[in-house]
Amino acid sequence: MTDKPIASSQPRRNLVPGLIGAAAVAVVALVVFVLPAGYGIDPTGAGRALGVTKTAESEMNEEQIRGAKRTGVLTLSEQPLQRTAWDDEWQVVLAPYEGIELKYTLDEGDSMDFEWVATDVVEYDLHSHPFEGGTEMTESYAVDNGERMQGQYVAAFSGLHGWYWQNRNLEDVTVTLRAAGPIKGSTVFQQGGQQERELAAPSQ
Amino acid sequence: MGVAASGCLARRVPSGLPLAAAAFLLLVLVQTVPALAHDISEADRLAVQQLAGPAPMTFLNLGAKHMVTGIDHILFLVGVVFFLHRLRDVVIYVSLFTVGHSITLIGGVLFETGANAYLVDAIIGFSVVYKGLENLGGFEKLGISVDTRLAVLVFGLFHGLGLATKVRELGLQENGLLPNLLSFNLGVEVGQLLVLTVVVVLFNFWRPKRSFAPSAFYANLALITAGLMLVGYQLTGYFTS
Repeated sequence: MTDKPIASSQPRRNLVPGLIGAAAVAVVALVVFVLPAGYGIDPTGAGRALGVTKTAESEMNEEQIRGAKRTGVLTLSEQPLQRTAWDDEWQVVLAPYEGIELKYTLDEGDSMDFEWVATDVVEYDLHSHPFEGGTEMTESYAVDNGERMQGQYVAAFSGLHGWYWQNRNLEDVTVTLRAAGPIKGSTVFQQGGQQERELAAPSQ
Repeated sequence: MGVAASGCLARRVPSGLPLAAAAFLLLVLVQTVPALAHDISEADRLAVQQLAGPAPMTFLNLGAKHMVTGIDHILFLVGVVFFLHRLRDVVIYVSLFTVGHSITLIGGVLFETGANAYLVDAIIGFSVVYKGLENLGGFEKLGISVDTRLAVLVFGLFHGLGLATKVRELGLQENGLLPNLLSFNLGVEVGQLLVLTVVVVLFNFWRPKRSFAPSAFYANLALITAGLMLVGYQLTGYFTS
């Protein structure tokens, strides 16, 4: 190789100790700084002591901070709801890494029962934004991943309320959403476009 | 960027302090790995999702921005040009890298190949480890002969796969997909050229100095450390997500 002469003149006797040192530094830096800062994984407690763990906590974005201030918006249920009549049912197949968003139009104080089930784990963000103030006022109530979610949702303001789902699996995932309540309409957002859709009550 | 910066330091400080330069690089890395290793920002994603049709300048910008702020790509490039003192060699190796990542960037998006982002990024991190080890003559010592040109090409393929995943996360529309993708790719090359210009110029200042040889040893160890951190960071992400 034309580029080797300088490389070969390196003092090689130090190579193995050097590599061991490099690996040791990498492991220590990972455990002490990087994992606490990146994922909030802090086995030694050093991340917290040094204050770097905060980066993971403060990763709560503005939307989540606004959402966290609300109370009574979201009441999750452990068990599937004992409801048989729904006002809307919607199903979507997400290709790997595809994301989609469905929002219901609700007035302030409207209460909606909902449940959604996915055939595999999906990332989701339950959020809303008011008609007055628009998307800049978006509030997030639940950002997580899972295969299902069910409960009661009470709109904190008149606006659009719903979920963003993303499939990070390598196979297609089907998401089925049902909702019941005084829903005024629904909108699907995908890849830049948004589309109004008619509510579709499932046949009993 | 980090190693280039440490090169700067090494010129000013006594040559007995290459460790300080390496430590400085690590400090920079520790702070930037979680922030930079993985993302095209949320704001970019939202902006792109509102686009319909070809928007070449936007994607050119995004591609360049991703390259310039992508610490993993930069570290790999630093490793690649570390001992290349002839411009001809720089051009050859960088072209191989470019061919590699362009194939998988464009192919990956057009054919929608699904690859796990954490695993791809872990391999990209490993490419940095590999390059540092190769620069230190580690493979010769082990008696393994590596075709360094083939290696750059192959790791280029993985870097492209990583780029493709980032582009797909943007949620591109079918409308204008190809021109936008080509613009992004062109932007990546523009960003790469910017980074390389800075790195190669700094190396050309540094190489003739007496401090270069001892510092180069530590700088490549620092590259290996950085690469291992990237690998560890991405694998942790893979196993916890």
